[in-house]
Amino acid sequence: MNEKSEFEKLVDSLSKVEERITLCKGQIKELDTQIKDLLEEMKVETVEEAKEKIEKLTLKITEVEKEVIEEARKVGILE
Amino acid sequence: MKIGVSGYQSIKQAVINIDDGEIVGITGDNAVGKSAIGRAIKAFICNTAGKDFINVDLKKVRVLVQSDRGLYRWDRSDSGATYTKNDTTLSKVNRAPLEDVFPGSGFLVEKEGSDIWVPSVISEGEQIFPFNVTPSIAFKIFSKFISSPKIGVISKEVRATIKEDKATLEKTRIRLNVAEQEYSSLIRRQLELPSREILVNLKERIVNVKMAKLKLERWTESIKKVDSKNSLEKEITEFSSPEIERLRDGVAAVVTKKLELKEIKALFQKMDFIGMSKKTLEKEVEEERSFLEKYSEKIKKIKRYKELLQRAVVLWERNKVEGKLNELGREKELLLERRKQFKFCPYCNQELL
Repeated sequence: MNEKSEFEKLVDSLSKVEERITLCKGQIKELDTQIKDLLEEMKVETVEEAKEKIEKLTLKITEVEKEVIEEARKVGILE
Repeated sequence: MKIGVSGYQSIKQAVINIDDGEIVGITGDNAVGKSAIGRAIKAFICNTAGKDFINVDLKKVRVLVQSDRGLYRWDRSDSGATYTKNDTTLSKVNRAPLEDVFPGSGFLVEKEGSDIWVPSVISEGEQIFPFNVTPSIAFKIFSKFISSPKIGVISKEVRATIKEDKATLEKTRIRLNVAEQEYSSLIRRQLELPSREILVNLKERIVNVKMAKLKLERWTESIKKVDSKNSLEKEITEFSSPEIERLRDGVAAVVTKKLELKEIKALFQKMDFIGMSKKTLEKEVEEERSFLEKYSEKIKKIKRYKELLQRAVVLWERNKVEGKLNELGREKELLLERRKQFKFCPYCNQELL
């Protein structure tokens, strides 16, 4: 079998690039749907708002956790 | 359920009976082996070993669990551990199948070298307390939280017995009394504990925090998909750079030119074929011409002969007709002569005109 010429190799590489682009586009579409679902679940409009909400919730949960531990200590079930 | 331990640290052989829904507390003096039983069970569950894991004299450890689900055996020696269920060795198993051996069970195991007990294994669906507690506090919590009357009972009876050792057996009896005293003391102290409502409320809050944390973890994980999307978009942008676009156009142009070239080659081939056909035809025409030239004189002669022959035929026909006419003329004259001899017809006797 004849070895592929440089040009044929270039054509193959470009085909692979096209395939990769198609794959990426499919993945982006899927991610878009998932992100949209997440934003709906979080009841926010943008990704920035979602990130902000996550940060706020993290702080709030840490605070509540501290309160629960403090209360557990008060009632004597945690030393 | 029966749990048997042999050859583990100070325990030569010990058997504990636990009825369904029962929590068994093992209490006693220091260094009598109560923690060793807990560790042996933990080793059975997790296949773990401490530095003084195997008794120097006994060398082999065996933990047996007999329940209505079958007989499970765990053997551990210097060379490793094996699990057996009803005399069948479980292959590729490096710890006891918990849900099979201890369905719906949990253990409080003493933390190594301290007076702290932690729930080591709790089956799915059970509440796990994420903090360390002393034995008495642990019992208090279980009494408060486990609402089913079956589970809520704390056995005041120590059922661990160490066989073949009368002195230890005597100690066990003493420990039984100690356990009863501890239990009574516990019940007394229990009255001073916070109310069930407060604990239930605390439990609810813990559960809520856990749920919120899980949700937050899920969200945090999902929001990372934005980064994945950006990375993919960046990749596409890189693929769509002007250099690659130029390369793509160039390749398309080369492919088009190659196709054109192929078509032109095909046309040339066709032209060659036509040229060859033309030459063949010219040759044939030349041959025909020379043939005609060669035979044209003969053809002319043949034509002339043909014309002469036609003329000869006509003349011959004409002579023939003229001869016939002459003959008929003579015959007519003869008949006319003969007629003159007759006035009447010899056949019908009618007068001739």
